Amino acid sequence: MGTRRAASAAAIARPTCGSFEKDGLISSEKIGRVRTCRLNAERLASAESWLSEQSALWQARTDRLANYVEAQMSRSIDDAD
Amino acid sequence: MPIEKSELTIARFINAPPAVVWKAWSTPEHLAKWWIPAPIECQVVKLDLRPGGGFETRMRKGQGEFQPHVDGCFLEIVPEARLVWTTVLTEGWQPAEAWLALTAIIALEAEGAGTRYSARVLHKNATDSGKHDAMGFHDGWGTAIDQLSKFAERLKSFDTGRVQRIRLQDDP
Repeated sequence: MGTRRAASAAAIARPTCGSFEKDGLISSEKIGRVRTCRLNAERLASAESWLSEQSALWQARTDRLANYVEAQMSRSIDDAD
Repeated sequence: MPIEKSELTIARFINAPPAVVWKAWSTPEHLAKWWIPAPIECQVVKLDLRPGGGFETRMRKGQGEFQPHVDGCFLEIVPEARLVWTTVLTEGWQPAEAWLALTAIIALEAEGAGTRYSARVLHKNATDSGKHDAMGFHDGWGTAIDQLSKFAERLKSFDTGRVQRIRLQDDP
């Protein structure tokens, strides 16, 4: 429990690096007082579940369609009437 | 191995009648405005709304060359109601090696003064190809991944090929 609490405190302090390093998105190396992290761009690309990524993509596309239709097209059609 | 879900469905209400939503889908000038997120520019090359008709869109960033985005074929067209297309075939039902094989079933249904819009997308399997260089990459990742990418952009000066080097504060 204590370990878990310590881990989440670290995650709060530095959420990006903590969680991404665990996922293998970055690796780090400490030299003296400086920790150098490497960000793995390829690993990053496959980090999320593929299907949830596709789903997010189609959700965003659907939202763009809705926003476009509601903001642009309804108006222009009203104007044309 | 468990059978993984390989299809997805997106549905939402759009506050405009099906005729207007259909127009946004079926007119090249309108489609280009929302199909790909800004600032990436979309070019609608083919939007031949009949079974076997070509569906091709291209994209570009800045002033570069247009790159392939979607190259597919319409399978079914019911004006203002249903639109089915696939990337497994191209114009004229020509079998093709799609970089991302999918069939999309778009449905529009009147709901009050608006439209119940849905997109059902079928894939070969739950992890098809994992190619992120075209549609997937440019249409956006999850928020965390997106933020991390932006973060990486800022670190370009440390670029060492595919690996970005960053410096962080010392560990406590």
